[in-house]
Amino acid sequence: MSDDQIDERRRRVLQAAAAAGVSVTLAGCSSGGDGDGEGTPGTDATDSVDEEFAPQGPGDRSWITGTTSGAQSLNPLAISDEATNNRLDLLYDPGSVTIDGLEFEGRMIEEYEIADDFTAATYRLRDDLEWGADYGQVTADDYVSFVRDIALGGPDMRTGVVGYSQTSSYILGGEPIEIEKLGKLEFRVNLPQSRGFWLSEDPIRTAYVLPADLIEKYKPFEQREVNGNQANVITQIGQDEAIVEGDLSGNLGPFNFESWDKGQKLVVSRNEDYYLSGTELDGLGAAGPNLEEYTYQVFDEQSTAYSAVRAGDITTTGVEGRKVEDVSQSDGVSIFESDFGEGTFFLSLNHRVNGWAPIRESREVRQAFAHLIDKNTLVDQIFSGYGDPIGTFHEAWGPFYPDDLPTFETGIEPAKEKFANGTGSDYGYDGDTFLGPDGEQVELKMVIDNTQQTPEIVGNYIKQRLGEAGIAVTIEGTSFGKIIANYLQNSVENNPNYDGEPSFQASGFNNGAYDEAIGKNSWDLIYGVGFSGNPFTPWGTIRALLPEQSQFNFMGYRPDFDVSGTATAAATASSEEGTRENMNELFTFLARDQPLTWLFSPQATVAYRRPVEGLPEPDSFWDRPDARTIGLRTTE
Amino acid sequence: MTGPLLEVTDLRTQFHTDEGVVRAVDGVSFDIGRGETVCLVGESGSGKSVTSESITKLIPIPPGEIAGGSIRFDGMELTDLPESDLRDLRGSRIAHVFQNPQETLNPVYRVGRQIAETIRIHEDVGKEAARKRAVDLLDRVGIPDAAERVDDYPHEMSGGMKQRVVIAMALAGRPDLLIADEPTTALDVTIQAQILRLLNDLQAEFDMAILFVTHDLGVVAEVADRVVVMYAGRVMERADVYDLFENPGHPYTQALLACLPGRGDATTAIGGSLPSPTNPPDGCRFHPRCPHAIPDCKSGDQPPLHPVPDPDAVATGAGNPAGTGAGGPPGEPVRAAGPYDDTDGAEEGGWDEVREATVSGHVASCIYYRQGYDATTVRHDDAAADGGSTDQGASGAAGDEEGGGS
Amino acid sequence: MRWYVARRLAWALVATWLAVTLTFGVLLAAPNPGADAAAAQCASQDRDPEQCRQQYLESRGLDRPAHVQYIDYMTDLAALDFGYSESQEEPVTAAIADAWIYSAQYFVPSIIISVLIGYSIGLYSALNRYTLTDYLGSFVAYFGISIPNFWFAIVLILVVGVYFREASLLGVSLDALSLRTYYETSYGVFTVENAKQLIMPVIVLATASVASQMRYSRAQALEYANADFVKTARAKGASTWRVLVAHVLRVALVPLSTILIVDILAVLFAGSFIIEAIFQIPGLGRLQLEAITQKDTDLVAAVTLIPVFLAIVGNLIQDLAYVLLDPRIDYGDR
Repeated sequence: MSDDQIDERRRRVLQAAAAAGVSVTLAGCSSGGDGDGEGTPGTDATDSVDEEFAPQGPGDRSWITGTTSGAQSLNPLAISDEATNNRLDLLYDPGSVTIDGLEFEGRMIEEYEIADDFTAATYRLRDDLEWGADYGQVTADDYVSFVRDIALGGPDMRTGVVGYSQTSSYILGGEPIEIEKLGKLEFRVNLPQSRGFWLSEDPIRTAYVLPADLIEKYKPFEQREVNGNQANVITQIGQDEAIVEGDLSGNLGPFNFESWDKGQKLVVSRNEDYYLSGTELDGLGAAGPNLEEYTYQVFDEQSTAYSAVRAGDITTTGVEGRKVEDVSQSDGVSIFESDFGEGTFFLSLNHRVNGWAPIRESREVRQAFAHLIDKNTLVDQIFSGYGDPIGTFHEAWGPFYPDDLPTFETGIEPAKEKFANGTGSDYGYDGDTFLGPDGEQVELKMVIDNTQQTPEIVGNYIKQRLGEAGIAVTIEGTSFGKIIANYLQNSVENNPNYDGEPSFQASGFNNGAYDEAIGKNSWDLIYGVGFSGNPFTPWGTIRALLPEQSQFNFMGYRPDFDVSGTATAAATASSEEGTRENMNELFTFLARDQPLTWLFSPQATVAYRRPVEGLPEPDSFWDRPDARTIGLRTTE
Repeated sequence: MTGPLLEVTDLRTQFHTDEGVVRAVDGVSFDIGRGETVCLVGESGSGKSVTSESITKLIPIPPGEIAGGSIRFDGMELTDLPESDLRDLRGSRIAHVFQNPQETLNPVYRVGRQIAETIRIHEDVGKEAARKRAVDLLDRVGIPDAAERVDDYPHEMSGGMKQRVVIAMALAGRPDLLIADEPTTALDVTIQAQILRLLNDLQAEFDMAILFVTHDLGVVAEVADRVVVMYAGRVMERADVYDLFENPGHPYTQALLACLPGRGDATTAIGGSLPSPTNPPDGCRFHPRCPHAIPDCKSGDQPPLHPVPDPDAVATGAGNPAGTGAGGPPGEPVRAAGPYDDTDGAEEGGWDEVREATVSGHVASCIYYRQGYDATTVRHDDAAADGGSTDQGASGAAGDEEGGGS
Repeated sequence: MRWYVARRLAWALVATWLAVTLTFGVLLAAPNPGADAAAAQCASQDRDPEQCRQQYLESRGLDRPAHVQYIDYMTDLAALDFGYSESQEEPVTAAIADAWIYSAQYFVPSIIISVLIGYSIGLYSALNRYTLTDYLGSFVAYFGISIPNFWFAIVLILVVGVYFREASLLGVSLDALSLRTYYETSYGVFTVENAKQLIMPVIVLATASVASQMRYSRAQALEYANADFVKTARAKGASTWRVLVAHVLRVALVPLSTILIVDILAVLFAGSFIIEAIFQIPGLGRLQLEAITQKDTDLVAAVTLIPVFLAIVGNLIQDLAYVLLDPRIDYGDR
């Protein structure tokens, strides 16, 4: 499925959604905000804010989201995970939000232009943005200070004094980006190399910045003691009163901070001063927020969250595909389904010398695995159908998914054929059994993360299928931590057949070539290890995982293809077509070579306790309820 | 209405166990008059303790049950009395003293409090008043420094003192009947004598009747007015104390007496052992061990209690099967009829005969006292108390000597 | 006696110190994922991972020699400074102070209920053996101990929280009987709503320990039910109630007290992790779990101390209670 891309998109992708009233088209979104079966249609701008909402849960808390992970901190500079990001979203607006693929809607950044050769971008901020805690108006100075001092760490970029975790996004090809102030509300960023997809990759667009004056307070940057430990600047800033009390957000976010129990509960209340409040946004009607209060409630136990949403004690929670049926049994529970889930699931194959040799030696053998596994069956068993099979390292709905992928017909016979052909004369079928060079049945070892249910399902299924293809499988279940320690991490020390230094060392996960460094235990297949990648900028993950000397290439894979080069070419292409071409080539190769057996990508399912109005039509990845918080409201 | 204070008639107490039904008490009858001391004698396992505990239903129910018979206390039938009424009786009109004072007293409460408990259960008396009475009682039972010792814990007292406390506890309710189950068995001989004396004094002072359960014939001789001999759950012989010792009627009693040091053969032990409690032998319970057993003894039921003739009466040839008196001068063949005698229409072997022999009768459950059997077989042995036993079998049982057995 | 208590208290301190030292040692020896994470992050940014790891350790003072860290820590402890919790982003004492209230709310009722019910069933069963009530009581108690806590909790939430809200029995809606599915922290401690949402956690926890209380009290009661002093009490005309409580129970309390405290603590502490995770109660159990999984050294040490200390004090109380309950025992000469 490819992006129904915008032909007109070029520079002026971002426009003011202010009083000028030119609205951005939302790809595929139905106009006027009619909920389609998801609630009462009709969006009177007048009744949105005034409506009294039926309370649910304790007191008059009007919206509770159940979640399984809490925010790590409320320091806008210290975002380490998605949960933290979601929380901060409620308090601070980013520069802009993605509507769809490369379509954006402005928040703090009113206008955005990118040069034709993709080497520079110009930004203009809105004029009415105010920091809280008396830090005044948001200006270009704040962004400049942020990029120079925080993101790039000041002149001491590499010493780690600042401790910003996303610095690598501001460094392209080894060179930092440059920022220059153009005016009170304008600034420009110069890129050291051209980036065709800078719009997608631009970290400034999504970063949360801080007032320059606040950052100034902490200069000169040095390690100082915070709570008994030497701390970097980010941590120091995190202790700043304005941040701890949550006063900083001013009019910049839809909600104001109320209270936070770390790892438990975050409560925010409607920000009456929100700069966007009342503005007409396309597809949302008037921007709210319509909710008086918003709570994130952490649940350690997933089933409690499900019970809570069924009983009505919380408003919404994400639900696994497998549980959708159970949860929808209760009256009043509706499920928001979107095809656009995030993540790719695959079966890891061992290319190192402590695994089955034919895996690394023969592409046909690897393809045999692809033949063997009926991905639709797995999707049904694991997600109750809320998922899609994939043939390469990309989400099924992903923008770069090639139209024409080599496919492998599902079946035992083709698999057996390829097992036999790919392994040469040492191996062969004796009846239904596949024998190895020692005359015994080939036996493979599969390791799964047995703390989750999914790996068990997958493991049993694969064992069964391999069994039908004449190969025996022993399954070993262990914890994720042990999988990392005993199987993924590798070193030459574990290899009795190799003496001396490894030819390269990338990291603990790739500590030498395939015949040098091996893990503590031998293995052939692993299920339960995954990588989160960004479907809109997939090159980063690919570069980290697949090239021979990459950081996370625990499998010991040696592609006979310039993975690294092609990925970089895609990232730095000077045109969108260039990027697309490169990714196409890369993905097609990966589909054919099957270094890992690509399995499936999930769909997104979220349960809602009551009919909720303002849910987007899930026509793209960006149509997520999370992203539409300011437009949501409950109806009774 | 005057009458015996306690009338136990054909009492049967059973226990349901995994091995079967244990007939611990299998048809026991006796009376106790006001102010008198009756001793219940027998070996271990004879059912005497169970009998004494059945009176106030202290036996554990289940697995125990009173399967039959009647117990009348001062005119009241106790066997079907509701528990709450029984509770009113216990401790106030009928009190118990048990064997081992160490176990009998609650180790965690002070003795004064335990005595006071009896008082406060039955009377609406304040703590202070009850305590005062406890001190008085302790004093009365002979504990020196009663006012201090009232706050002692049981483990701070000697065995003898503890038993005095137990007695004090029993007296606290001013009972009419004191049931003492081997109260001196666990004590030293010297202490034993003291306790017995104490009981004697108290009985006179409080006008109490005492049911004294014991296996010690020496004690019996000292305290009893009348004696009931039990064996294997049944009464073997009933008599007043003098009759019993001078003129034991039942072979069992004779054997018991023969065991006493100084009487008979010191080495004459009674061979054999108790019959099985769940499956007692037919006929007379004692027959497996009785030197005079004949086939008639081995079948049917335990022989009913027949009056035992006065030996003097026998000696003068005027054997009177209607029972002997409490001993009159020799030559007086007719006993003084007791106030409860009903000699008219008495049928032998019937209920009336049992009634008849009450209180003042000397009866024994032995077939030889039935009409048609020669009582001299058993009497003769006893008369020749200097040992040896000449066996003159009654008709039909020549030479059957069953002196041993199980 | 006073001497004995003093000595025991001193020993309590020693034992606590030992426990803390051991915990500290274990934490010191364990690998540090925080350092690993810092290194990994640096590696992904093309910086030297080893250097980052070093920096991370340095900034926390974790690279100092072990005994230096230890002394530092112990001196802080002596000043009752438990350090700062990274995972909770507040001083350790604050984190514990916040959490213990929630724990106490379900802990204390659980103890009380399990003792009351456990002892009642045990006593009654002992004196009424082989009756229907005896069997029923035993069944309930063993049910409680056999059922895995987490399963019971989840099912209870489902039934009482979800089904009751929708179902109706014989036409009458069960909604009024339903309870919250998870613990909401914004209610005041002594409010009706709070009491209602504590019902399920208390039930789950209490049933787990009722069985052991019942078993022990039944065994002890059996032993004493046929004791002579019980017979004496009955002979005095005491009512069944008085016999049971003033005599059987009172004497049985002596041996029972030796297992009461420690046993209860064990079951309840072990169960508290699960209860808190499932019902979402932010108490000490959860705190402990988080501290351990996030390798929050200061918090782990402090939070490990709590049950250790409670156990030690509990033992002491137990021994003292023993003396109080049984006049035959005196520690004077020890």
